[in-house]
Amino acid sequence: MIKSAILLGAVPTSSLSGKCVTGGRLNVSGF
Amino acid sequence: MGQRQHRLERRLCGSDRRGDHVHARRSERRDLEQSVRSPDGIDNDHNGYVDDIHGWDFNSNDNTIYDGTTDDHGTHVAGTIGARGGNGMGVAGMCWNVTLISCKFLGPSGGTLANAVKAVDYLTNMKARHGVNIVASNNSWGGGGYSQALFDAINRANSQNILFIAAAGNGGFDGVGDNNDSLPFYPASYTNPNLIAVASITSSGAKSSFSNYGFNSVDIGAPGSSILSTVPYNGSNPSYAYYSGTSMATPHVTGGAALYAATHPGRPPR
Repeated sequence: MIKSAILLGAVPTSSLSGKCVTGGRLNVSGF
Repeated sequence: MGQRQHRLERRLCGSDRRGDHVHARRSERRDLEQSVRSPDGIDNDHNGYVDDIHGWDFNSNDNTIYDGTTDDHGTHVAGTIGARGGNGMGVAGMCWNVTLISCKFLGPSGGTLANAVKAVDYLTNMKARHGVNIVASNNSWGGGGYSQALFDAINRANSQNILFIAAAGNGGFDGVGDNNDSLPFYPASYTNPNLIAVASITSSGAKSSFSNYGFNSVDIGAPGSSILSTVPYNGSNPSYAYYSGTSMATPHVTGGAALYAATHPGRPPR
């Protein structure tokens, strides 16, 4: 649950597209 | 692999070389005590470690985890996780009210995977036997090849619902990030379900040039370039410094996990 919350909360960025599973950066604003 | 492994360990080390309790207490008020126990020379909880009131130094096999200013890496990482905010001092961590348990297994000359296994199992045991509410371990370190023993230890952590959050790594000798999909970097590249592998981004959102990556093997990015955090006391003044690395990105995620656990009590880790 915590892992999925972290991964699902990621904000996609062009810089990380194709570079990681989420393609994005950490976003804890919803935590 | 010796040289590369050694270099990587020195650069990344981790949750491992934590540090400066004085700094933590005086300037950031991080609560490092895992319990109210006091040192008495007795292994009260029969876990094999005497007076491990702040954790354990598996490298020196003693309870004095902070060994001096060479423990800057772990002190920096710890500050990003849990430096107290709102106090007008220094920096604010990701989770302002958190207990940190130090599991140091790397010294100035690196360390062994055997001690990494002991460190992981120490936390697993603490939760399994004593019900300590451990959410995650921060692993701002890397190096060494695949270890079935460490993979198994991370799985034991998984069985106790402890996340294992790991730095993706800072490239090879050239300092340019590598693709972990084709060049695995451990422990980040282990496939345990409780593992989160973290890449580094800059303040503008770009991938840090040094950061490893991997479409399948790295999970998420977090800030890791020029991160200001706590470093050991230099004289009588609290000290802060800018460090860069996936080591610095990883504790943002670990602190985020602690924050989520704090705001969603009772939720399982994955």
